[in-house]
Amino acid sequence: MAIYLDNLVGLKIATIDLSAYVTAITLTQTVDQVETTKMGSTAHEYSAGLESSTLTVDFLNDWAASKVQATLQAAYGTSVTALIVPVRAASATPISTTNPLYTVSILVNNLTPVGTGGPADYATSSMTFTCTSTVAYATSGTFN
Amino acid sequence: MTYPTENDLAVLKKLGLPMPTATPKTQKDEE
Repeated sequence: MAIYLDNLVGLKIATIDLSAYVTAITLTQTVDQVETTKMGSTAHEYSAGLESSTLTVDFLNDWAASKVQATLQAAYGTSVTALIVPVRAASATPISTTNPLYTVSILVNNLTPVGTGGPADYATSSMTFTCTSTVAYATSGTFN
Repeated sequence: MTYPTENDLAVLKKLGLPMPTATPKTQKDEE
């Protein structure tokens, strides 16, 4: 896959496909750097620590059953699974090395249900979820 | 990792959605 427009990212939270309501999404994979500098070192030395990733999603609000706000409210206070794929097909998105699937557990510990936006805007919500597992990277299977 | 998790299923239950019938899976076509 070559370069591509970032307009087909797929997102499922707790198995529910919320892709149609996502306006921006960022999965940031991070591993702590633990300092191991010791006597005799001539520069700071580090080793990899625990993974500490985050998932930031901007949603268009929708209060309909099983849509954005109902899903997030049902998940509030728990860790649920998020699936992210760079390019989501209309059906049966194949997962491959050029379109991998990221699976991670996220702690839904913050919501902005009323959202933001003025009288002329659609109501939106932007949330950053802390990942409570490592980010699993798969190159086979399907997304939907 | 196991998918869906108990918490995922709890969300489906709260929303009144049907539970997945398949055994735990990672990437399965649900349609």
